[in-house]
Amino acid sequence: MDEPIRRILGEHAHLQADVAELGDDSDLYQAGLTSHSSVSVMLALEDEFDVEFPQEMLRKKTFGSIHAIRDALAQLGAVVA
Amino acid sequence: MTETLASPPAEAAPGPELALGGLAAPASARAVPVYFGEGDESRFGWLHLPEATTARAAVVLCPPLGIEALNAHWVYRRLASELAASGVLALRFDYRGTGDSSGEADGVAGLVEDVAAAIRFVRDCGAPRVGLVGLRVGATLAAAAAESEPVDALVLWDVCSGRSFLREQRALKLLSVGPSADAPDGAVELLGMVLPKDVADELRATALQPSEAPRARRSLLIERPERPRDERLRRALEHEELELLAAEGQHEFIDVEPGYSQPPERVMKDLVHWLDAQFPAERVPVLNAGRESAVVRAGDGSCHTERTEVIATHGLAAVLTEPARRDPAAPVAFFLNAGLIHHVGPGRLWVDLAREFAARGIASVRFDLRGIGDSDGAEAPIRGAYPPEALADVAAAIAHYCPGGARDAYLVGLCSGAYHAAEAAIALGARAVGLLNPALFFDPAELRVPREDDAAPTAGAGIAMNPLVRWMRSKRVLLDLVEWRPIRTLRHSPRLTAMLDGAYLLWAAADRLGIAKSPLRVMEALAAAEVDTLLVCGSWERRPFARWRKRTRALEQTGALRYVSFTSDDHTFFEAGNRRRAAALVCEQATKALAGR
Repeated sequence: MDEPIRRILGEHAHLQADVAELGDDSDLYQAGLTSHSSVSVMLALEDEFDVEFPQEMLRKKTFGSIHAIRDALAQLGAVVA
Repeated sequence: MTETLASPPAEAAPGPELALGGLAAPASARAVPVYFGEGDESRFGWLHLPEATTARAAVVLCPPLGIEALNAHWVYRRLASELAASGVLALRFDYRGTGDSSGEADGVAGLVEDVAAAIRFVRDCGAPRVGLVGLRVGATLAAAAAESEPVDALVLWDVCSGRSFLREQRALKLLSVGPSADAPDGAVELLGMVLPKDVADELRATALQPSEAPRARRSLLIERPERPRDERLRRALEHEELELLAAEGQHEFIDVEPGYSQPPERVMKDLVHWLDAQFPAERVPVLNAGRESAVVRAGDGSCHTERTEVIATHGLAAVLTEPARRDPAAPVAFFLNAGLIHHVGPGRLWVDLAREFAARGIASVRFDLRGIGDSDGAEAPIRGAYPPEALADVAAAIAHYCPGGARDAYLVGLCSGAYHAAEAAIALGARAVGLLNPALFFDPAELRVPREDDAAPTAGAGIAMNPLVRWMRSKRVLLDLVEWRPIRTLRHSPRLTAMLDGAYLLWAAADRLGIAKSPLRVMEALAAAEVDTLLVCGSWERRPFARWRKRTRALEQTGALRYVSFTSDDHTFFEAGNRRRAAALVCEQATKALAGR
């Protein structure tokens, strides 16, 4: 699941850091993720994994790290190769 | 549907010279504020008249909604100016219940009717042909209006359905400031905007639908290259003669906080060029068919008058809200720019307050400093929220509307606007000042890069610049040192910042030397100048006052300061509950200023 997440972050998150160098638990907001960019990431994740983030999951911590995004997608039942 | 790629300007036939890249339109072209539309409530707009008041055509610029409209404001101003320079009459306007317009956003039909009214208005001005530009939801509204009022050219820029808009903006609100505990039942709260349930439901069901006939002779679809092709949208445009353009730089333009938006230069240039190619060169006389003032309603239903004017001496665009029954002894309220947001204020806070003040018999002026919003200099590249002439601009606005002097002025500002309000109140002696989430941490004045036209005599908030500091500044003595990387890292260290927050004696010494100004020292200076002060701070801005609680309380006990602290970190009051609480506090202070005259 990490590869598509990292690809989406690379394309939509507009981070100041290189996505390849980020650890699983690296703080994405510290790396330059903004509220606006996290919406772009959310939309791209929904398209990629065919899921919809419910309102209660729209919190900063949901998109705070690659680990957190992976957990959120798993919670939504995203099917990943 | 026929699709072609829009020709790049270099390959197209030569057209008139366009004033792009931040150049102002020729002096003979001019922009005038107008009110238009049927009924007693009006839509507000700026009409950009070409040279010699003759035009080849007119273009109506339909803005997006909500926070996106704030980012679009400056780009639309430049587009309108550039269109006027190419002989095209341009109208940029606010829908009902948004920006400076009156009325309420009561449904999608009303918004579409506003676009249709704008088309009729430019035709009344004499335009022989009409083009429409719509951005985001504005594109959907423009296309809907063009079904009943077909146009010659239609530009659909990053089209977004009502559903997508609500989904994205709702997520943005939740990810930015979290959920709201006190949102009214069923209302949908976005950043800086609350939609009643029925309006939100209607908007959610709004999308571009297939039309029976072409909406325009030719259309331009500007799409984001990073997003998948929208087949439903293509079906809706099947009758259009369509050209395509990539919406490069759209993220940096729209998907950022107001103040951080970067204009999509290439798209703007191509868009103006495409529109230019749609209209013949022949010009006809046009006129300004708009009204000079409008009736607006306050929350209690009372009617008042608004008029937009330019303070000629300084080129400041100002909206005066004149109460139906003005208390002659009441102060005039001045609302200052919050950062780079134009004079409507964040979440339209200044517009709402202006109309509430009118109901209390208080006139108010919301205006743009030079370089921001609709004032002079705003067509140049963004210079920031602290233009060196800010104090002179506030003084000019006060002199224009307060013939009795600055003691008749009540200054209200948020963030950088609070800085300018405090500075002007101390320097000029205002009656009262309302400071919302003030940005009062000043870098030493010496650190500012001197500008050729920067004759700023102060080191911030009304203190004279020390001659030594002035010399150091001219020689850039400290500037190179503090920009040295290890020092810069230290300056941005949260631990050091926290230490400096509490170092009152250090701040006081810096203040005495004329080097820097501390937030609490600003409050003390306001008290010394006998300015009634309201200070509203969120969780970030309250830090220095929390550390200096005793000294803050001492000021409160004198009655000179009312200090209110919010737990929220919503700096710009984009959350409706914070906006309501701040507005209530400002209204209370205005009433107090009225009673204490």
